[in-house]
Amino acid sequence: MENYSIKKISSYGFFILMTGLIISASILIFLLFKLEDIREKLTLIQNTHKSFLQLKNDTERLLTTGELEESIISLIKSSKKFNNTLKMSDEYNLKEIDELWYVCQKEISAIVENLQKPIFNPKNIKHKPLLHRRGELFLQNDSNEFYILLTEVTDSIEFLLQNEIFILDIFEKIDNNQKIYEKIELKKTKKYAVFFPLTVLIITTILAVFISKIATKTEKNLAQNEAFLDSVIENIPNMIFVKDAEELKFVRFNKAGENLLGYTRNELLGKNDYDFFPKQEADFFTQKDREVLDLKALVDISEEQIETKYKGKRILHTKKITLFDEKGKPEYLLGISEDITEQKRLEDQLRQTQKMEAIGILAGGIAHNFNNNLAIILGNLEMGQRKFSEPEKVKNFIEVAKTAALRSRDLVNQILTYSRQGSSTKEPIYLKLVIDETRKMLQSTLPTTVKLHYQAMLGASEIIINADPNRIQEALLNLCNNAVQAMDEKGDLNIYLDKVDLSKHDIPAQYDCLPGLYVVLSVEDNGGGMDQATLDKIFDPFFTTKKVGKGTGMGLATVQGIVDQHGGLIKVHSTTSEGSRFELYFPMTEEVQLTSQKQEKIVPQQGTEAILLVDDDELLVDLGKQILTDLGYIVTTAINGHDALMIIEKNPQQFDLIITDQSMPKMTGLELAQKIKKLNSQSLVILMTGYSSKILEGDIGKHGISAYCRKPLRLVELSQVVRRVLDGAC
Amino acid sequence: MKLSISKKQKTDADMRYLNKFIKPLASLILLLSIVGCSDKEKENETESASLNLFEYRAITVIVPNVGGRTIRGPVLDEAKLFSEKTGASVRVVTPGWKSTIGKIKESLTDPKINFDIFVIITSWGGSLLGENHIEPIPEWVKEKIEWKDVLPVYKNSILSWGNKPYGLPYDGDCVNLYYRKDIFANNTNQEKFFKKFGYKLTPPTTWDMYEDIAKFFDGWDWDDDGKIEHGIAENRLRGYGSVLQFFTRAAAYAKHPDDKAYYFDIATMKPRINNPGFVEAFEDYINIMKYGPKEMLNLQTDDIRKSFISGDVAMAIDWADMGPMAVNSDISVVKDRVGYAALPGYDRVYNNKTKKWDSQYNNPSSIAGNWTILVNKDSKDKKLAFEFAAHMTSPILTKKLITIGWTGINPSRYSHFEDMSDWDGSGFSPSDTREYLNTISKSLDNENVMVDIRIPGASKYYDVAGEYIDLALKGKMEPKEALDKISLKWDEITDSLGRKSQIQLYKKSVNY
Ligand SMILES: Nc1ncnc2c1ncn2[C@@H]1O[C@H](COP(=O)(O)OP(=O)(O)O)[C@@H](O)[C@H]1O
Ligand SMILES: [Mg+2]
Repeated sequence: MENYSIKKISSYGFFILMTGLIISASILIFLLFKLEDIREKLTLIQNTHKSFLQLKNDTERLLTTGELEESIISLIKSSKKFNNTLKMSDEYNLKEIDELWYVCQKEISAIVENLQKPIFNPKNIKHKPLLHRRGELFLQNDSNEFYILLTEVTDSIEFLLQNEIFILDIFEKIDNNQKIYEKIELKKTKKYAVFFPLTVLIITTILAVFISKIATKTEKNLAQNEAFLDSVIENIPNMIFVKDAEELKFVRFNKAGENLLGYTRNELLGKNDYDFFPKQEADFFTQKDREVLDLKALVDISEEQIETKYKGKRILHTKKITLFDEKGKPEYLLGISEDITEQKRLEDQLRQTQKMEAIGILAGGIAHNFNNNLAIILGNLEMGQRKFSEPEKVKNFIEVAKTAALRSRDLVNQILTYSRQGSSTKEPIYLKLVIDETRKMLQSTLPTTVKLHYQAMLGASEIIINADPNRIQEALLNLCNNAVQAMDEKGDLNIYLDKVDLSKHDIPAQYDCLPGLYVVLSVEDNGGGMDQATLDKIFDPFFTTKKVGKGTGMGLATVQGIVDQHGGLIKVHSTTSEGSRFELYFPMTEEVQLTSQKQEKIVPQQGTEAILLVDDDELLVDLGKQILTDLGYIVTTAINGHDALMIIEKNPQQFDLIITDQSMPKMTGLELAQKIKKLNSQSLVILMTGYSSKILEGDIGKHGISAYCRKPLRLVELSQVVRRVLDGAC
Repeated sequence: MKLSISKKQKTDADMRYLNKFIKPLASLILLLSIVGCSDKEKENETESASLNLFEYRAITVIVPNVGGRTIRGPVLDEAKLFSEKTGASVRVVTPGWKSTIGKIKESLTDPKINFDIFVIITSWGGSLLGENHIEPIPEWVKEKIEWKDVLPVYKNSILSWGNKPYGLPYDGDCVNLYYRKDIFANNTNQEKFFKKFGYKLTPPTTWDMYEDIAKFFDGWDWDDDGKIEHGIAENRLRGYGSVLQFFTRAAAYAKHPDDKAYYFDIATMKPRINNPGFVEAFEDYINIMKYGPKEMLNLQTDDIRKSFISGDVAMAIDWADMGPMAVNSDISVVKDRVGYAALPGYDRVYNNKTKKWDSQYNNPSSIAGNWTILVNKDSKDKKLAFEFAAHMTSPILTKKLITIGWTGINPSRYSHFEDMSDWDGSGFSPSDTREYLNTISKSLDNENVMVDIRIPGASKYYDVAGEYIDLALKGKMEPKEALDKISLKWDEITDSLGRKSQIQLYKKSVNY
């Protein structure tokens, strides 16, 4: 900008110089012309003046000459001549002279007319001057008439002369004025001839000084700016480097760069990455450089490793951008690198600490829970032993101990889920179906004081995710459970199903998710909400704010585990005393390849066949019976293998299918299955187990098992397995 | 960086170089401008020296040429002085007497001819005033010329019109008789005269006596200079002078003291010019010519004065100018020999009302032929015109002019009679001065006064009168016939100008 102003001032300067010269020249020329004009005017007026002098002489001669006729003629002649010259100088506005001349002309013609009267004949005049003749006549008493006339004429001539003298005076004045005027003009011209060029010279000189001052100042400023920028770059605590776009050789380096790499500027400049770093690293850098230059955009490399001279391997966060020349072609590559090695190390340390802490809590939690349960179990068993004689009471003690044991089993399941050790099979599913099923379940278990609302986006039934439907259901149930508890069993429970496009920013740092389309499953309550301190810990295993027996602190931990398994994420919004909303995000499956058959799979499959359900857990038996009955089956139950065999033995063909738990006291599921096969080799058996085992699955068919079913029982899964087995798909 | 450092060094060098240049340059310019300024100042000085109040302004004054330098002389002189003093151009033109009024009339209609100031006799003023061509005297001019000092007879009647002052008091005039004190006192002449006429030779009190004395001194060398002398010199050259001379004489015959009117009947404007009083006066006016020089017909005011002061005649009828002229003219041989007397009277006077002669001594004064200065109402520079007119009529200038004979300027102010200091260098002896001024003031005190015709058309009345008087003088017409003719012509003029208005104006002019 300052350069520009110098340019501008210079051109202005030139312009002023030129205009000044032109003005000076024109003024001088104008003055010279004016001078010439004055000269001309002066000559013309002088000529007119001269011709008037002639006229005046002729007028005087009238009085003094004896040759009257001759002088009359010359008077007429000079009068005409003057009249002509006066007309020529008309443009000079000699109005005063004009008026006087008008009077003179009148008088001249009157005089001439009088003198041409016969009485003025030579005989009367006697060739004597008129004045002389008048004097003579005065003394004669007989020539009174002629005397009177002559007096009139001489008076008239005198009058004419008076007027002529006025004209002469004016001429003289004009002459003088004109001469003075000419003198003044000449002086002016001389003065201007010096003054104007001088002024132009001065202005130009001043301008030159001015420009040179500005130039000096500008240069100083530029140098200062440059130095300032230099020092800024030099002192930025991050490594800054510039490479040329052609060969990617270093052209600039700052102090931080020198310190980091352990090389001096002189060593670095003019060389490229391969001269200093291992090939692998150099390849990476070069590849990124090319990427930057090709993209012509900023490239952010969040982590890259570099081998330094003295500090070993360092981790850098580098940003690279292209610098363009005036034509828009990439000229340089600018890089700025932050050494995040230390930061990384601290983070890892922190993570480790957190892990240890979490494990501590986890172990504590497990120990605490199991201790509780064990205490209950042991206490009850002991009481049972003591009250052996009272079978009713014993039964009760055992019942309580069993419940505690079952609770421990659930706990184990949850821990397994959290640690991702529980088996899960993901497949494309219609999410809406899972939600619908869960809702149905909730509807029958929720207290009437809680209102369940469900709101799904348009086309929600088309949404497909790759998931394990049982897990999803489990997560949803957990969230709802929490919500109901938070609302103290009365309020509005909302479930939303939605779809969002998550950008990079929407994904919290701890998740390794990719941006894209996600399904959001939200559970919202208007309960007590949480403060920040609570929020920070809710996902920790065994973290709970609830009383013993009300919560284990494993609910949200499990949810977290489930979401992680599905490559999704969780967001929580909560305000104390207003409510909370938990949002579960699952990546959407793009390709919709679900066949109608597959869809059927997800829908609970119904049937009318007779089924024998065997499980030592009475709760489970009841649940299973209810589910299967709902599906249309005729269900018979047994609580151990022995009972089951007894029922089958009565009529080995009466059951189309036997579903048995694997882990049962006295007789396992497998043992039972083998025995049933002996009774009826056609029997179809589904084995239920608490945890997934590849080995077990591999045993399908070997021990007469038609299918395997994971516990706890899930409606959809169960219905599908049952249908599949019954339909002879296996 | 390196590059920029070398650049900086270069500009520093430039600066030093420029500084080297600028300093002498600046001082040169300063010097030049000082020289230029001082030049200009000098110019201004020379210019301002000649620059004056009325620079480049011009007025034209018209004064008739009445012969010699009379009346016009002071105007010409003062115009020159005034121009030199103020830078104005005051142009004075002096056409012949006869053509003056024509030129004035012409200027009033021709836009290319302009006169700013008219220096004329009061009788002409009437026509200009009646036609509203004259600018009244503004207060500042009145103050400047000390209007209060002007004698009432001029201030209130002759210089005013309809009670408004228009004319500036250049000249105050009454006509008087001048005689040769020395030859009147001469014993031989006394004896001779007594012997011839039977009464003592004294300055004449009647026109009859005037004729006797004229007859007595005519045709012989009464002063022993070897030249034949004459009795009288009077104005007889055709024109105003001659007519005025006639009216002055006729006043004694026809200006009745009980009647303010003189030329016309006040009620009808009927001319009285041919009544018996005028006729008798006219016959005597012609008759007396034989006692004057043979070229009497060519004589006008200037010539009469010359003939009297060169000792050619014993008596002269003239305005007050004769007095100073006699004592301070180069050609005067009559210094200290001049006597002053009021105009002669007449033993009877014609009463126009009764159409009869009244037998009573009648001796009116003639206050006629006053010169006044008027400013043209259409003047393009009235300020300058009044400045000059005021200068011409100031008490200081006029007081000087009345002591100089040839000027034709006579006392018109109280101060002219009171302070005699200006007469010291005039050639008058103190006693002569007193006698001279007494004569004039007596004339001015006279209740019975004859004044000019001061109504529009005055010059026409005078011209007609001059023409026929001249014819009678040359014997081409009987006196009575000439006066009848004049009467007839006067009636024509009156009718052409409107009798009714003329009656009103005539009444005004005589303060009826
Ligand atoms: N919807 C909710 N409203 C308020 N607090 C909640 C909600 N969900 C979970 N929490 C808090 O999070 C804690 C951990 O929950 P969770 O892991 O399910 O264990 P538990 O429910 O057994 O306590 C709870 O004790 C409770 O304090
Ligand atoms: Mg919970």
